[in-house]
Amino acid sequence: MEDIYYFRLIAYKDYKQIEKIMKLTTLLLLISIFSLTAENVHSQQKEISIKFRNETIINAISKIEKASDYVFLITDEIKSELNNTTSLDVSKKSINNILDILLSDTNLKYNVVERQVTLYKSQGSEGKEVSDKNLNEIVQQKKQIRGRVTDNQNVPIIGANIIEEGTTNGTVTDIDGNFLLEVENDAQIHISYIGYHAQLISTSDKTTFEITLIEDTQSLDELVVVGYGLQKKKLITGATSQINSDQITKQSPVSIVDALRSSTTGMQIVKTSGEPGSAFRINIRGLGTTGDATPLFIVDGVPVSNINYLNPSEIESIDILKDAASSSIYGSRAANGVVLVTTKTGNYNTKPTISYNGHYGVQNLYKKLPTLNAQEYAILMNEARLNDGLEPYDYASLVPNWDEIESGRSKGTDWFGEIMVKNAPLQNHTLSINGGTNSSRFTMGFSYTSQDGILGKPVASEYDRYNFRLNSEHIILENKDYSILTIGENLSYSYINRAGIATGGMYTNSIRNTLSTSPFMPVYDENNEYQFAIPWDIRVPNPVAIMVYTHGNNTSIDHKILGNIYINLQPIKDLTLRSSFGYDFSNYTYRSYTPKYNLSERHFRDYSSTSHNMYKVLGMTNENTINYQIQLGDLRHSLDILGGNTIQINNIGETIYGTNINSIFNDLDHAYLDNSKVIDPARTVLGSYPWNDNRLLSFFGRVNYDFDEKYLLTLVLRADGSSKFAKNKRWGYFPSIATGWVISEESFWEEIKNNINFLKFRASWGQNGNQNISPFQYLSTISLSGADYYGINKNERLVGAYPNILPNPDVTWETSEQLNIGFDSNLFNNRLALNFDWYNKITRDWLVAAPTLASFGTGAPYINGGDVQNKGFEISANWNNNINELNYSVGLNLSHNKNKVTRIDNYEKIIHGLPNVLADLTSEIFRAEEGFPIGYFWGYKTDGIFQNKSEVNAYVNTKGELIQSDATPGDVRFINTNDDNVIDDKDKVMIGDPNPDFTFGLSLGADYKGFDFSLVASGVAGNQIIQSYRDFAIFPTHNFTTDIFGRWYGEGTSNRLPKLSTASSKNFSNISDLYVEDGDYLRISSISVGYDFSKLIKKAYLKRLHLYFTIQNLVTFTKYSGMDPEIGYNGGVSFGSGIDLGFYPSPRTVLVGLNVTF
Amino acid sequence: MRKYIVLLIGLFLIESCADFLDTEPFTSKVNTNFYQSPQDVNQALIGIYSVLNPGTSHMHSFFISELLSDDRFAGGGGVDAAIHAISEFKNFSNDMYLYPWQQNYRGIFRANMLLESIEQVTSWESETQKNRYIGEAHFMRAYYFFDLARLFGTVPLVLETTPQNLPKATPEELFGQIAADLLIAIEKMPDTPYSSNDIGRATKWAAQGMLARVFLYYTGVYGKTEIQLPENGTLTKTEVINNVDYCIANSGHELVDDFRNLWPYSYASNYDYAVENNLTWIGEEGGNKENMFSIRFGSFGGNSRNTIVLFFGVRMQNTNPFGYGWGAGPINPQLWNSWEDSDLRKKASICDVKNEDIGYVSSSDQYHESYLWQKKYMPVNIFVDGKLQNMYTYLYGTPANNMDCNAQEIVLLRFADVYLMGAELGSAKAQEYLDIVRKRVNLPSVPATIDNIKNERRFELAFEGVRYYDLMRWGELESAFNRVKNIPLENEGKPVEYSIIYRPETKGFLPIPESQIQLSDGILEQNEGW
Repeated sequence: MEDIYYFRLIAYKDYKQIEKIMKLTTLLLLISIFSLTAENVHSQQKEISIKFRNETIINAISKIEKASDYVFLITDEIKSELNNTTSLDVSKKSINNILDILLSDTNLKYNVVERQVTLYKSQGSEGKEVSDKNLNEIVQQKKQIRGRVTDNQNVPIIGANIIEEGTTNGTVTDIDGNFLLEVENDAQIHISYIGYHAQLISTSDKTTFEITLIEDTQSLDELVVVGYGLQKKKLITGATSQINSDQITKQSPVSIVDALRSSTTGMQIVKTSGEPGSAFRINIRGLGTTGDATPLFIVDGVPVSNINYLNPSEIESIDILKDAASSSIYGSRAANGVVLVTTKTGNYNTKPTISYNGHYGVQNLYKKLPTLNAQEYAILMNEARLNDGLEPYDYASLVPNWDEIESGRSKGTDWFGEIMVKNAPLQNHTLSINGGTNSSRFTMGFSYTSQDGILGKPVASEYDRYNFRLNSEHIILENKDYSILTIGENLSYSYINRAGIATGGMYTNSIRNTLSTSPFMPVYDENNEYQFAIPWDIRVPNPVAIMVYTHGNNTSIDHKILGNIYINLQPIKDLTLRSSFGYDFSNYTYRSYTPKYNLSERHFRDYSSTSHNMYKVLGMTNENTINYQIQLGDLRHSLDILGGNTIQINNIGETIYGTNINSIFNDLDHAYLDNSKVIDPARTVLGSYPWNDNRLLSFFGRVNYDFDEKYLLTLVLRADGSSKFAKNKRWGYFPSIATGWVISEESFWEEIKNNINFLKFRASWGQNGNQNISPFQYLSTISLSGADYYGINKNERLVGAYPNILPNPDVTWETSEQLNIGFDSNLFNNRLALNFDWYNKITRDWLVAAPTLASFGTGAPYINGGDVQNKGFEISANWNNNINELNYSVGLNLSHNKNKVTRIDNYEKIIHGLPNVLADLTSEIFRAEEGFPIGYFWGYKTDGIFQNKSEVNAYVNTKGELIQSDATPGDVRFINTNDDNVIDDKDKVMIGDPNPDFTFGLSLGADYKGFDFSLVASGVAGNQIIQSYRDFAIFPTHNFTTDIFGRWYGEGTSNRLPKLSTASSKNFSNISDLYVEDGDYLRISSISVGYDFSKLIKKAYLKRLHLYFTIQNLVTFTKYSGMDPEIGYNGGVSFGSGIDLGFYPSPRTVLVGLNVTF
Repeated sequence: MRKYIVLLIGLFLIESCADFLDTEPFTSKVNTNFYQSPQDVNQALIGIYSVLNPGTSHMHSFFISELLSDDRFAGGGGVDAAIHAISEFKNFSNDMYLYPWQQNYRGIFRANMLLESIEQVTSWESETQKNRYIGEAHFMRAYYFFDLARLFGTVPLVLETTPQNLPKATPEELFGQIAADLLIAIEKMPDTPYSSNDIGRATKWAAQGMLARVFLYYTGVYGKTEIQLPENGTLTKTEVINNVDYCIANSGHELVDDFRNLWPYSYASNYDYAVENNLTWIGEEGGNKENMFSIRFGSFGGNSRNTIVLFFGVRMQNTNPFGYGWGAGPINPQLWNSWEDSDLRKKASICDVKNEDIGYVSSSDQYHESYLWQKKYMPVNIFVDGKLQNMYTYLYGTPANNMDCNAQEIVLLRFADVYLMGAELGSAKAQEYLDIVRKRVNLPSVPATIDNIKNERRFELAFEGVRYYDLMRWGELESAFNRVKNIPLENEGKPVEYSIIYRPETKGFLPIPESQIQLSDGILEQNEGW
């Protein structure tokens, strides 16, 4: 029964067949100096295994209490007897046997009634009489109370202690959580259970009680997942964060990543788009590379590329390993941190429970951007015309229905409004069954999630996901003390179906198109067909029509099978061998259909086309570990030794793709290549290619040592060989060392232990590797793409060949080195947990494709060519308490990170971002450069607007030369940083940093008699966003947001935005700080209230009936002018960020949910 | 699959890791196993030629050379500041000319790699085949270096694939190498008359023509009389003349009968000028014996299209017969005015849209509008089923959109040029050569004086990418641009008086991309005047 607690809290079915807490302790937590096993908990005759040395009897008793469900009642008068020390090593003994041994050298006797053990003095009759007398008194003055103790999921808590305050009178709850106790009339009862907050309740007014205990997440005995094992939170020496299923599900997120944001420190999570099913960018402790900075995800021991495919309800816990010491056991790719996901599992000896969790909600746009209506637009366009000294536009000849607009009867087209979807539905349904016998346990779950997009009408984005999971574990062979052979498996299948509109860059971006198209163009023409480009700007097509035609008919389907099978062999006590085989298979299909269309001079297609792409890719992992645990020197020295290896092959796969034209059908359902009968040399595309498999071979070892749970030491060494590097550069070696001092265990701490219950200092140093580059950089590969040429026959593509990179045989592992110093503390009776970490992470030998001289004549290879530093701190504080039956918690966390590139190994010291990101014909706007934060915005600083000609003439350098001689009033004054007489690239400086200085989260939770409330908020501070929705260089007719009302239109009218012009002027085409805004925000990401009706409808079979109401994204506090300050677009380069070109915003969702457990 | 499982199990059992981490690329070869057959070498040569194709960029040296010349302005729209900067000798951004720099060095690297690896090939069909391929690689390396030299002055002389951070070579070293490469090409490539099989490939004849061009350029710009070859010896004028004479006599190249039939508009039966003059396009399938070396394009749109023609097209409109484009390169009226009406090449080369009714409407944002457009490299529309359509779409099925439809080849060396160079070099047949060129366009013989030859080059080769360098080697850039003053044009519909300010301190060379100077840690020095 103890295991119920453990599994409820952590459920680490993957690592151990922990059917008993003692076994867990023995096998995984040898740090502790005692160990005990309770066997056959289902039988009446309980047997206990326990082992300790030189403990006082009082401590021994508390250990037996923890290890079993016996409750000891001890009166003060016998306490003095309990300070003798004793040692014990028994296996599968009854409580009576154990007590006989334990009390053999004392004057104490015992009495066992049910689960209650009473100790009393045996000498003489006096003690006995007192005891009898007490018993008599109790009988005389008692009233009988009854009650039921459950957790907040309404699952009964078995073996909770109920003790009348100030007495030794008490009992424990039975298998249904019920108890019966006789107490004094106005007594208070103290209800406690390990891992839960204790409660004190008055019994004066009633005799029946429904008691809900709240989990004490700050419990130090909680086990957390570390690489290849579990460790007591108390003994952890690295920097880790944990999130459990409760914290995830109470936000009702579509993706589990959403839930991580507010509850972890040191993680920056940004959606790449608010479109349903979009991926996330996740960075742990800052961007450490110009390459892929995604952390390593491990789901039930299998490395996967992302975790979006999971349904949040499948998750038991997520553990994040942030510092090098925690993650170094994973060596490869751990440079970016490790996210360990553990899925739910059943418990041994538990009747199957069925639970259903579902919610349904509607989503709406949180904020709409105010674009100009037709009248405002017409006025400003003419103002630009006049500024340029030109005649006003003859709108009547350029704009259809001009008289409607001129008279004010029509405001023109609100393009963005046209594609908004009101009340887009969102739903999720999860059904799961879990349970177990004494030798098997299982979880079976099925879930369905569906989310419609809030933008893209009439072809809005959608996302459907089906997940199926089966986890089970079987004990094949066991002896009295432990199971010798255990086999288990985790298997999940997911099916994801997506359709989406164009998001991302500026060229194909449905949202940007609607923001920038002039309100002059009607949606439909007089024939009720999509309007052709109007004379006002014949280049600009109807944005709704373009979206419908080019992104209205597409679907992608992803089948993913992920599983592992493992075997645990424990030939002798304390020695465990484990072997697992993991399998990750994806099959992806994309189909699309694009009809013929004709929307402008430049946007037409005189043929329809059908595309069909498919890939399958497989990854396999084999992992073998051996674990041995020993105690030395009176069991005070504890050693836990782990050795192992992993063999991994990824990217075993192939892609096949095809596009053909003029299908005989005109819809997506028939979008198959067979329906195009003719091969067209110019437009038929067919191809297939294999993926290059990556292989990784690793060996690792770890030693955990502790002395008295007071002095802690962890040493790790991992060696990784990667196929991505040349033979002599393949192996990387990654050591780490971590130490801890639990100062609160020291004797001198006793005096303040009441206030500071626990304090541990930690320090760690270590290295991790990163090999995330394309393979074969050590060879000069011959490319056949992009080198076509043509001879006499224009229809014959001659395929040329050329070496596409300069080989770099020396390319090898990138290493991230991290120093971490921190403390964990619990204060005020464990109500407040306060954690702090400071880190300095230096990525050395950065894998970068640094630009090389163009005269080398071919592509730059990856080199180990730079260093980057991320330095920061993380604080989290969690307060957990109750006021009578009101349980509440407050969590706050704050992370600070400062990123700086400290070396780039070429003469230029720069890695460039791309040009043409913010608008066409614009130069690069972000870069990585030595001495600056990675991906910083690069451009001109401005100093207001020239109000008149004399200000232009006054703008001179120190030599008195005019700097902007061609400027006119209303133009931007660009800051001349180098004191020459011209504004050019050399004047560009850092104008913003997209990396936040701070990320923070806040969570509030409370429950009271079945009611519950939670609030989650998160935010960032200190970052900037660069924004443009207009292609200002090529399309002066693009629409504006109403911010343009603040432009200059005469002396003194504005000192920020320049005057308008019909042509592209330097005012706009020079990328400057005018495009940069602060991106700070605080978002109430979820707020939820609920009630558990099982408190009202008392049925034995109904464990929980929870109805809740949640609002996601209720409000965002920000000064950022865009629709959503959480901008995940990267400008086409992995280290770029914070670029808003018309970003699909996250919706505000209102949902109602139901959770039923039988 | 079984392979992988065996690998996994095998590893688990024996932990043998030596081979496990060896992988091989399945879709690309590597340099050590690629150059093995003549087919491989041919593919590598295609890779070298493909660099000529501008892909989607307009910053091709041909385009730049035209905009730099005094005969044309930048044009385009108000948004095309980068293009305006070319013709106004301004620096639009630090790396404005990175593209031609990069492309030429790509070609050089590929040629170097081929020359370094060609001995790996053992299965030659014949020695002739091997020599031809070697000759082509040398020709192309010379071509790319010469392109760099004309644009940037001197540049690093990279002759190995091993990365080296080199300073600029001296002009002697650079041109010595170019000449040496061309001489090898002339020697190695077959001495057989031109045939249509050679389309898109370098020939001995193209190498001889290029040798004359290189010699004239080097001796003119740097004031020399001969080229010092890298390994002793010199290339004298006599030797160059011998090559030209030999080429003219033996190459099998000849002038097309009617000058106008060289240009695609001659195909347009909807174009009055073509109909009235009874023109028949010579095409691109071998009939054009005047074409000695050209950039070839494909019918697939995308990177196979000719974007240079797109840029030169009529700004944002389709006329009959000239097609849609960005309106770059309007013609300097001074050229029109100085051109004798009696020269049929005048109207064959320039469309006077105010007098030729092609349905032209000046785009409201057109810059440098002179109402004179060149006709040689221009999208051409024909009527197909009553609708205007690009002729290449009709003929070759190029995508029917304005961006992708053009596939006209760009001739980099024309036989008429070789005649004129022969005349300019002072061949014994100088007068004959000049007369042949004039006779084709019904012009009477004039003495083969340098001034007459200069004029002839301007009119014969207008808009073909040679004018700017001719001025440079004649030392006439400054005087030519001094004439380009206060030309009445229209910008965005507004009349302007337009002047080009040439800066003699640059000697007419372009700035080296700033990033390259930084990446070289200052070993590479910026050109004077930039």
